[in-house]
Amino acid sequence: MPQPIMAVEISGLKLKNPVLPASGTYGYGKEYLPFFTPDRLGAVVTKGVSLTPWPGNQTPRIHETPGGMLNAIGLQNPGVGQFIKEAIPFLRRYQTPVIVNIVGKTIEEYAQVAEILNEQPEVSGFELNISCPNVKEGGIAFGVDPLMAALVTSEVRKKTNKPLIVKLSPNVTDIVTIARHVEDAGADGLSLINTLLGMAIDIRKRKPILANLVGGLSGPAIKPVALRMVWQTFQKVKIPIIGIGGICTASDAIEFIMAGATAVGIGTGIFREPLAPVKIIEGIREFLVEEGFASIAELKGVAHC
Amino acid sequence: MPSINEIRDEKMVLVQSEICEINEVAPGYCRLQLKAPQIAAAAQPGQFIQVRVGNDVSVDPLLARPISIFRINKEAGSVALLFKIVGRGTKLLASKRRGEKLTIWGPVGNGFEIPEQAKKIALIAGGIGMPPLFCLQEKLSLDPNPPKMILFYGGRTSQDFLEMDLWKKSRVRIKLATEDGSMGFKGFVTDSFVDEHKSEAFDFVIACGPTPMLRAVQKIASLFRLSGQISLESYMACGVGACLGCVCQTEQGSRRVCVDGPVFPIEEVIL
Repeated sequence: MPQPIMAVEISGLKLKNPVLPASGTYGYGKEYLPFFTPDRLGAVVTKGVSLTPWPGNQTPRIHETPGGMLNAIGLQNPGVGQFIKEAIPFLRRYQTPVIVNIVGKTIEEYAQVAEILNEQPEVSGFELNISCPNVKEGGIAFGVDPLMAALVTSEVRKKTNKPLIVKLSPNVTDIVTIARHVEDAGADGLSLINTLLGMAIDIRKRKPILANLVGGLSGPAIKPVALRMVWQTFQKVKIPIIGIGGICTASDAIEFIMAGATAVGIGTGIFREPLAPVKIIEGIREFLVEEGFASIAELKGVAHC
Repeated sequence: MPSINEIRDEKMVLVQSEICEINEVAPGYCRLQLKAPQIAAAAQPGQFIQVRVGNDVSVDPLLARPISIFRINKEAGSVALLFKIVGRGTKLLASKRRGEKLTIWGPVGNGFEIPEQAKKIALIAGGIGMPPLFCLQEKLSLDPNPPKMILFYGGRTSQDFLEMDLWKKSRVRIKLATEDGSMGFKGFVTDSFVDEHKSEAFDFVIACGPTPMLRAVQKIASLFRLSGQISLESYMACGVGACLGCVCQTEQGSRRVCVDGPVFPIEEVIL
């Protein structure tokens, strides 16, 4: 029996398989070297990179909840200069596309980071983070308003001809409206979804557990919401979707692909199991063989028929 | 700002580890011995292991629990952990049985680094901060010319002291302190340490315990110009240095407790 074709193409990027890390859960790749090398992945999606170093939020920044976790890291990162100096030489060693997640407090900052990184041959594409719920300025402020989302997308679009993927927030009334605005503004792809805004309270201390008071909920608990949003968006947009939200196993990933995702992002699942992305790649391959699919492409969106 | 980091410990491995022994050593405290030859071979005192409670198909509890290493047995290829039952995850972990397998990875973190010239070391433990100090003394005791060590072990009550039989068999002198005076010195363990330090000057301090205790140790160390190291505890998500969930603030900016620590120079951390 011939091996199924695992390769997919997303927004012009050729990926050897459809499994990516979700931004912020994989650092810049080095931390997972004891478990697997970045070239096992379809692409690397980096932690958010801003124009200047961001210190992140106070601690506690994380809290486990049933089937999930809350985080309010606050996009701590060393800034684009340090990223070019340290992360790019590391990632250059591996034969895998690099999608840089970019964050900003203003539209100009997003555009500047994109402009600077557009010059780097190792950067294969961008994921625009307009959906982080944990920073006061920027982030989600751009992701909950269709016109703002479109504006930041088109401004970044002007600075790069590399694939531009926009990561959307689920904390909106209608994700399809945002998705269509972003598509019209020139996005080549969508990442769905970022975390859902939530909170937890310490009843003995009588106050919120997270220093940031609220945080983003991720993990298996949000999977049905994410899947529904991928399903709805797939019906209304033409650009490819990276499905993200609580994927821990190959069957979770397959659900997203059947809902219309071209690729999947593994986030909190990698915290639970550092080898999760590798196991998921193998599990998808086995499923294709078992069910007689010749390629991932054949699987995409089948649940819609 | 932290730089984009190197992996300090390339020896970290992920394994399915069999429980060789598990028992409640005192009410609310559990000792877990795991067969893990690769981890035992690489482990150093002060490092910890990420222990996932849920099995391959379970997503609840979701994340692994970081637990510091209590004993390393390289010959038997096993490590022992000692933990306090504090929430759902540790409660479920304590209910596991011998022969069951757990997904674990480690050793994680940097471990203690004792300077060669340290000849008189104070080990200051608060409650469940004790296990890494036991691990450290076991290693230092193997030295042909081991340093003199005194353990200052503090608890709320006499119920909080664990594995005292093992400690008594060690070559470490023991000074207990309880807040309620039910055993040993009545008061804080740090006060008991100060009393002792005045008569016998220590040249190095190692401390692990709750934050208020570590703050007191920092003050004392600065007052007496003592150098040393403290081991921090934190909630963690990834336990590999990627998520930045467990950072602490230091004189050099923010650092990850999991892989830049959990051991830091005493004066460096802003508690």
